[in-house]
Amino acid sequence: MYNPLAITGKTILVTGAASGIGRQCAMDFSNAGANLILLDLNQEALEATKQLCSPEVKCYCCAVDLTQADSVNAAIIEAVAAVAPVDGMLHCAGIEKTLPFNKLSDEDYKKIYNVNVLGALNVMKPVMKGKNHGENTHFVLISSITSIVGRPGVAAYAASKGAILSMVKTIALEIAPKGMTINCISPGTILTPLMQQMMESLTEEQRKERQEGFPMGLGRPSDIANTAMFLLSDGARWITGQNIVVDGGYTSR
Amino acid sequence: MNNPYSLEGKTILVTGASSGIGRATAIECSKMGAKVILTARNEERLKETLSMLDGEGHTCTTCDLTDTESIAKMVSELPEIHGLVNNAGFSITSTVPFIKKEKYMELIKVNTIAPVLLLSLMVKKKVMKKGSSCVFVSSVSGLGKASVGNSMYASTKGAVNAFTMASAKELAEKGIRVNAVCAGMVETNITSNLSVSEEQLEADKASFPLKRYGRPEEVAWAIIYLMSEAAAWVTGTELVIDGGRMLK
Repeated sequence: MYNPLAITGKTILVTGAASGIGRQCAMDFSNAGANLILLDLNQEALEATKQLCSPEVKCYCCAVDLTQADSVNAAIIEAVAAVAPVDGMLHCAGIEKTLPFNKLSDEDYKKIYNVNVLGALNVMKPVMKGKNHGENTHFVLISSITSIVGRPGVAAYAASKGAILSMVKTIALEIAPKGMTINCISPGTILTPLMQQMMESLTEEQRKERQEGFPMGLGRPSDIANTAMFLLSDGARWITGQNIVVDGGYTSR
Repeated sequence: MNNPYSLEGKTILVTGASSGIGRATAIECSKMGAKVILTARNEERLKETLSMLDGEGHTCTTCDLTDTESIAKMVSELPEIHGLVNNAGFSITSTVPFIKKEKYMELIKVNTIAPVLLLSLMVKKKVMKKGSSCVFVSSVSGLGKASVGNSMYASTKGAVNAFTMASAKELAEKGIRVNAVCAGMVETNITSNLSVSEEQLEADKASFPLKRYGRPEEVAWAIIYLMSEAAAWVTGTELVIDGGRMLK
C-alpha cells in the first residue's frame, strides 16, 4: 500500500531501547519493517526488547555506556557491519532526578547532561562518519515539554532537554548540505511501565495533580513512536531543526 | 505491514482544493485511503482535482467561504467529517505605508475568519465529533518570519496560529484535535506567478539550507500525519515545515 511515511527497509538506531519509550519505538519500528540497531546500558533488558520486536527484521543489540565516546564509536562500527549503514537515529536514552535546583549537586547536573545530551552527540558523531550512514539520514532526539514550560524540581533535566532543543537548530544547518535532517520531539507525561508504576504508588489526590493539565489524558509510548517514525521517514524530509510537541494539549493551556 | 498513518475509513474535507497545497493534500489523502470532499470557489478547477484523486467515493462542493450562508449551506449537507484541512487562503503584498483597509479586510475574511467560522460551525452542528482532527494550513509568517511586503498576510496567519492554540485547549475536552502546519516557501502556482526573474528565484532557493523550495506533497504528508491516528495525542502543535529556512 502507498505510504510516503514508511520506514520499511530502513536501518534505524535507537538509544535507550531497553525500556519505556525507547523499547516501544523499537517494537513499533520493527512492526513497520525497519531493521534495528538497539543501544542501552542494560544488556539483559535490551535482549528482552529484541524478543518483543518483530522477528521479520534484523535486530542488533549492543550494551554500551553512551557517555563513553570510544566504546560508542566501536559499537557503531560493529553494528553497521552487522546490519547496514544507519538511515535514521532516535535518541531516547535519558535520565532524571527530581530535587529543588539548589539541592542538586554538580555531579547530578553533570550526570544528567552527560547521558541526555552528550549521549546523543557520542552516537551522532560516529554515525556521521564515512560509510556509517545511508543517504538522507534523519536524526530525531527526544526532548521534553520541560524544555519550553516550567516544572518545579526538574532544573537539571529541563536544562538538558533545553540543550537538545537548541543544538538541533544548529546541527540542522550543519548537516543540511548532505540532505540530512534533525528534529526533536517534546513529549508530555507518557504512561511508560515505569510511570504507570509511579502513578499507582500515588494517592488519589496526588494522581489527580499529576494528570492535571492534560485535557486528553496522559500519553502512550506509541504516541511518541508514531511521531518519531514520521520524522524518520522520507515523508518528513522538508522538516528540519524543529521541535514537535506531542503532549495532548498540555502546553496550549 | 502496520501503517499508523492510514486514513482508511476517514472522510476528509479540504478547502482551497483547486490548486497548490490544497490539491496536493486532497490527492495524497485519497492515496492514503480517505474519502475526500473538496471545496473551493472555482468549480472547473475543483473538478480537475477530483479527477486526479485515487479510489472511489470522493465529491466536490463549491462554496464561498467568505459568505456565512454559503458556509452554513455546505455544512448542513456534509456527512460526518473526521478531518478538516483548513487550507484556503491567499496573499496580497504591500509595504506598510500603502496598506489599504479594503485589501486588508479581504485578506482577513479569507485567511482568518473563514477557517475559524467553518471549524466553529462544524463543531456546533456535530459534523466533527470526538476523535476528529482539524489542521490549519498556516505559514511561518504567522510566527513573525515574513518577507518584506507580507505584513498583512503575516498578521492573518498569526491570528490563525493563536486560534489554533486556544481552540485546541477548548476542544480537547470534546476529544477534537486542532493543529497548524506553518509552511515556508513551497513551489506552487503562487510562486511561479511571482514577478521575479529566474535568476532571482534560483538565488533565493540557494539561500535554503536544503537548497530548494518545498513541494506541496511535503506539506500534505505533514497534514496526513496530523490527520491520522498516529497523532491521536497531538493537539495545539504548530508544525513548522520550511526546510530549515527560518533557523538562521
